[in-house]
Amino acid sequence: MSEFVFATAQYESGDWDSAPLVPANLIDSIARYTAIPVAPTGVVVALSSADALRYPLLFLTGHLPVRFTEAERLGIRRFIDRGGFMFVDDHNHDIDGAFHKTVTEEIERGAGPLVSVPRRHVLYSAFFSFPDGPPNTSHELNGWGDNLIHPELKAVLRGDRIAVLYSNKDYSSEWSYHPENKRFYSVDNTRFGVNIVVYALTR
Amino acid sequence: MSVRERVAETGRTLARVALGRSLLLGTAAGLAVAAVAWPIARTFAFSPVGTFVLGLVAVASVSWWCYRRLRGPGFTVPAVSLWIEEHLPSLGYALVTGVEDGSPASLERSIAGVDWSPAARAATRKALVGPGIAAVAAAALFAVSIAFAPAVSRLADRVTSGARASAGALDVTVRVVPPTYTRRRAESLRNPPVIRALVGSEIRVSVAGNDSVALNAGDAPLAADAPFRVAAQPTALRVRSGANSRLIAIDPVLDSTPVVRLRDPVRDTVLSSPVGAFTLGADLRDDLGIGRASFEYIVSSGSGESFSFASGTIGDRRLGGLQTGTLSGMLTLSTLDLKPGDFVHVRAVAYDLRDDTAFARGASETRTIRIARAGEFDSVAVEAATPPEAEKAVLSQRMLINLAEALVRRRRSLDRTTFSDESRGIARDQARLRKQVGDIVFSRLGDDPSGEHFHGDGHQHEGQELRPALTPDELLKAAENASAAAVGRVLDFEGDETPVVAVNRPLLEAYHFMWDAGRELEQASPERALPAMYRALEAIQRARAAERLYLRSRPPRAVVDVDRARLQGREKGTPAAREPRSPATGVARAVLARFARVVSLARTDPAAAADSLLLLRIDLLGSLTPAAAAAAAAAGAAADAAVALRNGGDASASLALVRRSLGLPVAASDSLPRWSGSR
Repeated sequence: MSEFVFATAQYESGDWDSAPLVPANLIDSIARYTAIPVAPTGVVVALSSADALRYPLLFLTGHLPVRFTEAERLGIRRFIDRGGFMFVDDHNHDIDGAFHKTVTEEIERGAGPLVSVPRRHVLYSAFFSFPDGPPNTSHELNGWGDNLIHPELKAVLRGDRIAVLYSNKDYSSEWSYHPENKRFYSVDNTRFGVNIVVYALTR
Repeated sequence: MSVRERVAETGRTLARVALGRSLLLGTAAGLAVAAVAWPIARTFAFSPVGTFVLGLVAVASVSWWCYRRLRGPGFTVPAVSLWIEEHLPSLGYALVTGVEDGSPASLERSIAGVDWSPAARAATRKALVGPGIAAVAAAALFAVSIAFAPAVSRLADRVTSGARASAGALDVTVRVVPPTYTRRRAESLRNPPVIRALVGSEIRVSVAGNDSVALNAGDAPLAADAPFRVAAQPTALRVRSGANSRLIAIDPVLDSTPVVRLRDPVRDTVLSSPVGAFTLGADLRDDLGIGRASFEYIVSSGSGESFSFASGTIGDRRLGGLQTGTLSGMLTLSTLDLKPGDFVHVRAVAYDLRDDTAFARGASETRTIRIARAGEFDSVAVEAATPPEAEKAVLSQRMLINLAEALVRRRRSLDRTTFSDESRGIARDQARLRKQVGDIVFSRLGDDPSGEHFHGDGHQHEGQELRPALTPDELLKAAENASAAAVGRVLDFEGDETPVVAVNRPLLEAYHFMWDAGRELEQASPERALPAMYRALEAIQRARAAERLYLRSRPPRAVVDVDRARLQGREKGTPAAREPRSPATGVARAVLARFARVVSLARTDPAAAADSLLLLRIDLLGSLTPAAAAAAAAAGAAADAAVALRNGGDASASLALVRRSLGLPVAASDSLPRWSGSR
């Protein structure tokens, strides 16, 4: 069985590299909790590149307005049509923020309409159990961004499979720390990331 | 009253009678025409208003024609007096003569007592009774026609659609009303196998001669009197009336999003200060029509975790349904309150006539205008950076090649000893350069930079315990081992836990060729050293190309020690086997099997096979991507085959085209991505 390689999507507009430690943190969690063979470093792959098709999961984040090029839009469509899973997170945690507005618009334009992910969705029990839906982030609880707790995630579906998972909860800030510091948490806050990866690899 | 006046009065009476007769005849003709047209309109589902219009046209034209004929040269006094003479021959032309100017008074007195009114009344009766009876008869005929029109319609339907009725089909009329915003006309189609209609169109179905119609869209029943609204998915509309049914495939046509191309500004720009203005220009295009368009801009300020945004529009324009158009505007930077480091994102947006859905909006590519931060340009000029290590190696290797080439050219003018000394001098420089390359390689391997301990410069290590120098073969073997490891793999390299990053293979090649070149130079054979030196230079250049950085940024490379995270020594489990995804070819095989069943059904039940082909077409259009040209071709051919089967024609060619289009594409591929499941 080949190794799982965590891939971060690189796009022309905005700041795609705003959460550089998220890949390492999630790789650490995958290694810590699962037996999935995983590469020790992530890769960065251009969204418009055919190389993106080599990876089962693409992570995309940023603060700034996102305007995909035609090649990137085509890359997204091709990626999800061929069974890929894309996890898009708003690094602003801002419901009316520019990233939220532009990236949801671009996703709907390139991939399809975003629908709410119900709390009983298999995503929330793919590895760890999250009966209350997506875990809240400290940024939500501390009143950062729009001072709201977003109770649900959105998704673009292909059949009954999630092709694009969109989060407005700012997991990019929540998970962007060195894995060594995970020991200071009583409960590892990256466990939901494991669910995302396991879901992407098994559905 | 004089005789002339009496004749004139009689003339006016005759004119009224002629007009009445004409109108009665026209009415009779109009009612007769309506009586004939009414059942025809009912049979062919024409509007009843058309029947009334046709009748009125008949009334007007026949009345006018009759009146013109009756009127003749006109109801003048001489003409009327002649008419009276004709009906009272006893006058002996005295009246005609008496009404002339200058006739004798005695003649007028002789005819003053003559009364021709009975003749006029008789003529009136004769002129009006016949047309009146005809008009009443025509009215009765019209009433009968209205009463018996349904029966006539059914009879006509039975007569005209005898062949279809025997095949179990219906005479279906479909009225398609496009969405209002498209401003397109409704159309009526008779017995269509496939209807291509815009999403949102209303479809009303009627069956000739039968009011009890049942409709099903897929498996869901529809109210017969309610219109069917076309959705985005292809649908099979089944029309049932009595024992007969008909299948109609509804192909939805999506109103495409407007296409917007931003002409100006041409490219992204960085400005030193936020002054001036940008001319904005865009081309717009849409399949149905564009409602409005404008330029949108977003100003983003801030950095790190703190950003603020402002947005607005420029150059709003209403195009009122034009299919193509242009948009222009002016972006004045001074109005945006820009600060150094801010970004302005500009794009053109057009909405089509829907204007109320997210899909109505088309947007162009976005151009970014950035305002440079203070000192951004100075830092490049002031802080001179040292050239990268590989760059130094390139310069040195080029210089060594120049020296070696010059030595070869001067060979004839030098004695053997001088030539050998100079060649060995170049060899020492080559060895130093090789050491530099070796340092780069070994620093990447995680060892100290002096992985190859160099003694070529004559220094010694007295009183120190030295690690024995690696031979070239050992060194290359170690480097090869390192480079062969997977990228990013953690290696415990000689006790040092520093992770090994990618080793640049071209640099190792350069290192290898430098060994060869140095050996030949030591033996005073610079001409034999040169090929290796060239190849070393070429390898270094490849190494440089491989190390180019992505222009935007390069994220820090964090490497996770997977074994450590897994608490080393723990038994590695095997993850649960993944369920492979269905291979794409499986879908095509299922469709082919279904098509084979349709073909066998066509021999025994062509109507059912036609219905199955239409359902197959719907599934092809609904389940496959629109880009799949083969699926589109198969769907088109399936519709043709269905029409041919329903009409009792030869569907072989269309069926063959369906089969050909459904055939598996021939594709050469060494493998699929490993995570996508089994083939």
